[in-house]
Amino acid sequence: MNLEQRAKRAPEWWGDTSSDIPLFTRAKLVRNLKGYNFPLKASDDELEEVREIIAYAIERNEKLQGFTIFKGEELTPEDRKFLWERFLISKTFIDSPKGKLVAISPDEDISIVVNDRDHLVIQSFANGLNIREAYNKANEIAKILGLEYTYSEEWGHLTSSPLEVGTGLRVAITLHLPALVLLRQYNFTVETLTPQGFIFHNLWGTGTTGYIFVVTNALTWAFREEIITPFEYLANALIKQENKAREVMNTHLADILEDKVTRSWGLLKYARLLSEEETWTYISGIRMGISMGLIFSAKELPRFTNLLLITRHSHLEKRTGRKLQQHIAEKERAALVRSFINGMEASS
Amino acid sequence: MKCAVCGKREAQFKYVIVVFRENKEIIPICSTCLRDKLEISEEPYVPKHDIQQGQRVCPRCGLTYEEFLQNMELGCSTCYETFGQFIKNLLVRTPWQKEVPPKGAEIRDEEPDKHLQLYRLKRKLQELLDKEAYEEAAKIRDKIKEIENELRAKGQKGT
Repeated sequence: MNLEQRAKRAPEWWGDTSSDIPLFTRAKLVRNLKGYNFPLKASDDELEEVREIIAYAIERNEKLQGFTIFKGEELTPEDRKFLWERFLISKTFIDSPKGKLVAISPDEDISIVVNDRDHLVIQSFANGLNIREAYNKANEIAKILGLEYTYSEEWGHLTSSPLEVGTGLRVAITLHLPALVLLRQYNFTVETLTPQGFIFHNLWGTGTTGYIFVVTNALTWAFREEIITPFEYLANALIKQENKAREVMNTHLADILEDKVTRSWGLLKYARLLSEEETWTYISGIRMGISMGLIFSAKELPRFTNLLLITRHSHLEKRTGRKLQQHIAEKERAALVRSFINGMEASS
Repeated sequence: MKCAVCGKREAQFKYVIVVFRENKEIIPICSTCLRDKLEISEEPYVPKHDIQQGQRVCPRCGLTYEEFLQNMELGCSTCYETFGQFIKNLLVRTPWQKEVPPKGAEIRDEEPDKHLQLYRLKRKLQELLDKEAYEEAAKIRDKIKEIENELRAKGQKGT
């Protein structure tokens, strides 16, 4: 499937059907090949050899047959930005694609990146809070690739960043927490959990992202269970807190809550120019409204979740097939949202 | 604005005393008085372990300590021996984790496989064939077949 077709819909792991709070889980495994310098100090020949070896291992493996392989130099800057918006490559890949490679599974739930900060980065995604499923998938790939990784008795797997040494495993859960932010509880939550070894950041890095946050583990030099199990507790605790905050809003601030939801709906429906941040904020409001039973039925939830991704800038560019200036992109985005809403109203 | 402590020199800094949360006292202060207040010596402060590590260079990839601090990236696996103590100081364990970090063997569960070896052997085979050293090439060809059979038994494509 080419990138233009991919831009029209979100991958299957994007979003949870039963609830709006958990979005998706990502597990990232970092590995380096034995006998080669890490990319920071590797020569071009060495990087090329590493790339050949890993590409060879992917192409040759029967279980990885459907994977699409792109070399960094073959991708245009727009392609790279598009893949980054879909979380398949990192930000450094956009800036310097030379000597790099990315392999993507047919369902886009696994991506293998070569020669980024490390020789091999395996990412896998799963719906909602399926942390173990995501981890098992990534681990399986690391196993069946059958490469020899650098490893020491003292540290475990060696990585180019010392903060990823050991398991090389980073788990990330993505949560939609609008009520915690609106009730000013979010900062307090972050302050409490950061010393416990969790890092909070926005989806796609900087800026507001529709009250969607990512939580990852700070320490990777730990037992596997020490990394995975806390996330199960943490996710449940945060979801409980968010639900409680929503309940409080519903009983004491019902008018504000209703205004937030209906205002989001009105703006999405009638706006002629929509910036990315605005769109996320309004969609976020509607998603909260849906799961609280204030607006629409629950079956509309996945559609709005889908809209969150496909209204991103590079997705619009891929959809229209041309480069878009800021202003034109805002117009296109509003038109896309409107057509989506009209389609939804016609079908119901 | 004049320094509030000595009253002579021009104030360059603000000295903030936090009484309670938002309740703060802000005093304009000059660099000399600030130094006295914070008990800072004239020389710039360098942590102790930095002095020992500062002169180190990784023997394999040539990464210096300063380069490492700049972007927190290591150059090769030997760097872990060169800057080991410093890296250990970086990795702080949280109270709910076990006190001792895991050993390598407790982490690892992938078994190294033969693809890398296969790739290297095939390259060598090509080299030998180019040189027309057929006897050695035959030995390597046998080795390749052996590994490919092993891979096939595991359900992976070997040829």
